[in-house]
Amino acid sequence: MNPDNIKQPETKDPFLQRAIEHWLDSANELGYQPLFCEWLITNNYILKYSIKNTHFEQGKDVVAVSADGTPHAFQLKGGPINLKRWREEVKPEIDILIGGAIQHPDIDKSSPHISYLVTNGEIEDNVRVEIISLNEKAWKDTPLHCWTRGDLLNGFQQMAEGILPKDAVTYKKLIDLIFADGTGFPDYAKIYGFLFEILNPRDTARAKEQRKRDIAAAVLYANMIVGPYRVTKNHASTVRVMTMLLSSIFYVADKYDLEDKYWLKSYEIIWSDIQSTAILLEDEISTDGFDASFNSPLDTDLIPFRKHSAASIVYALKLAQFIKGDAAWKSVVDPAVVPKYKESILVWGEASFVPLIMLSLIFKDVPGGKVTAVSLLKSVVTQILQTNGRHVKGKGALVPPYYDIDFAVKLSFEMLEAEFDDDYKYHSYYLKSVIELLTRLNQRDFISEQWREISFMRFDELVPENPNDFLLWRTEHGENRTTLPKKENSWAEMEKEAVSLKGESLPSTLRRFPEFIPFFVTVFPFRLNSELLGYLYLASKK
Amino acid sequence: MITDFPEVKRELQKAMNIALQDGVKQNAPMLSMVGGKTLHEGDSMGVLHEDGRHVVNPLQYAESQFSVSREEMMSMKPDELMAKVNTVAVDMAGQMERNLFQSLDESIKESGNTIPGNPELSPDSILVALQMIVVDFEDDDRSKPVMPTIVTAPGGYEKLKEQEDRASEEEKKDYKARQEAILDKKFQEHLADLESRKIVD
Repeated sequence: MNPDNIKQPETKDPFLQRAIEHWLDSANELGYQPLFCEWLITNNYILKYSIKNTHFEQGKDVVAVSADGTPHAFQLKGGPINLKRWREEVKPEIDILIGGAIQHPDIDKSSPHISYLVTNGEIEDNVRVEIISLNEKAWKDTPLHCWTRGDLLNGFQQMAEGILPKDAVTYKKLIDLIFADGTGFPDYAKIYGFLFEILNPRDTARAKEQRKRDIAAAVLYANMIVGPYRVTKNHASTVRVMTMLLSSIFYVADKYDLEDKYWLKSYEIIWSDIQSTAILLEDEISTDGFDASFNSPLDTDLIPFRKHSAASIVYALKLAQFIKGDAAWKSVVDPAVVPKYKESILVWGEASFVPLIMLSLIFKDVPGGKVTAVSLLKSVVTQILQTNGRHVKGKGALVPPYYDIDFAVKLSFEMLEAEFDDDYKYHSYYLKSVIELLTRLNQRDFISEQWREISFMRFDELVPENPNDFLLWRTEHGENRTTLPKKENSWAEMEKEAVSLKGESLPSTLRRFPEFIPFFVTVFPFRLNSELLGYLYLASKK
Repeated sequence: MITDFPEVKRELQKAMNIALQDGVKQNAPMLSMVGGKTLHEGDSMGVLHEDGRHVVNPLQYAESQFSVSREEMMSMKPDELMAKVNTVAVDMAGQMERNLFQSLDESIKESGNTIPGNPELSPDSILVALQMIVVDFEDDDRSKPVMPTIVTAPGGYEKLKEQEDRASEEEKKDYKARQEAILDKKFQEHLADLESRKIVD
């Protein structure tokens, strides 16, 4: 990438170059698009839009304005471009890219834009000759610029300049992550740990400009880490990794009170990526159904778990759309779509209730949907009491939300490496907040019926010493709090307490972007508590 | 270095850790009766009581160690190594049990739930204790009282057993009747407790 206004990077780290090469060569255009956008903003472009996978891009996948006010439009491609591909696929789109005005309210349609063909492959010589010829004739006034693999490599490496893994051990972590099996679940703890090191939140003396560069580097590394998942079209895992990235950036932004100019554009790119990737998953399920993914006899017992893991991402997307007022949320009530998700929720631990809670937050405000919302929440309460309540014989088996679906699968297949002997009888992380939600929905009769059993339960949660630590994967400092409910409770007091839960203790970034919370809580289910659910209730209230 | 067998060592380490955990459980009978939970983060544990009291305690640590000299290492048999592991388990279990009893002792004193006069452990003192505690009934069924566990000082159980063996059939019958009468009362309390668990305006 070599326009005049962009500083050329110095190639200092051959290892990193090889690592970026490996990732870039295995990515398609959708895979490198978020990082390309991040690169633009680190070079002082103002990103106007970035579109994925739609028919409305008018030849322009990405549009940005440079520091001097000139609009730039980019068509992104993956892989090499030979003459056949150029003539059949690429040139018709380039004609629209160059000839069609940029459709954006901030950009004057009459002002000419600079057009770019970007690919992570090479452009063959005969194609380049044809482009030169067209630039001298038909496209003389608005010639096409080409950025290819080498330009992208240099540009992306520039983003990590000075923010390299510090030692061989960290390099090894990166290598392990970028060579992960892309068909499975990401290793959350390792990924969060790696991104945390890149973002340097413990360095309190870091300048804000440096933090901006840290964020750009974290976006680069996260995109490399997510590479194997994008290649296999494992959209759910891609969304999970990018959600971790955004949570870690939120943590730094809150901890150091970063002004928007240091991180907001990165947020927009990552958030756009999370949404569009979740939509790809939704499209896959809508088009092929779940069953198309199950093609091995080894799948049989895993199907319910695989369905659950995918559906939880789609339901997070639906609640995010609902909060934002995006009509696409309506697919959850579309009679043509609903059957496709039949039996897609499996109870395997408290975290498995997150999709049900998200659906209830949507249904509570849909005409005629309150009954469904209440029924979903009641089923959560009933399951918790049946599995961990006082009448359980033996141990309480509903594991807390610290245990994910991967753990649940291994537990059910007796494949855990260490003995698991925990007992959660009488304990629940979610019961309190679900009861508060039912209280808001005026379900006094049900709560009264269940209160005898509920009153024997102990409500657990982690209360971080520092409220911003809520965004961390794990925090060292905090209280593992158990709240004992009152034997005799006043409905008036319960109502008062329920409506007082407005998310005031939540980090300011989460409060500012409530549409991100459904994804956050899907990846960080142990953070679902009274304040968070109370805030989601208000954010999703119509 | 001389080529090692790291994979095998990892497996052996894992087996040693399991043996250590089992050893702690066996040597900490009180602790092993309490349902265990893993803590994933944080550095303290707190309880917010129904009356609004908030009690927070920092996490307590138990640690121990053993050492093996180079000379010992050359000839050490697996059984000898496991014996050392067991010594650590006994030491850690002791620390954990002592901490647990200390906390229990403090809580009991605070609540005033002690038997006046601090009598010796005997069938009668057990009945006195039974009157003072809450007894749960499985399935809320009078015939299924969840009887408390007795933890005694060394030799305490033997003394109790001797007293029981010395008792005549009539004394045993009388004891049983007194115990059942207490349990009847406890069951009524249990039912009243259940009735008290409700939502009011």
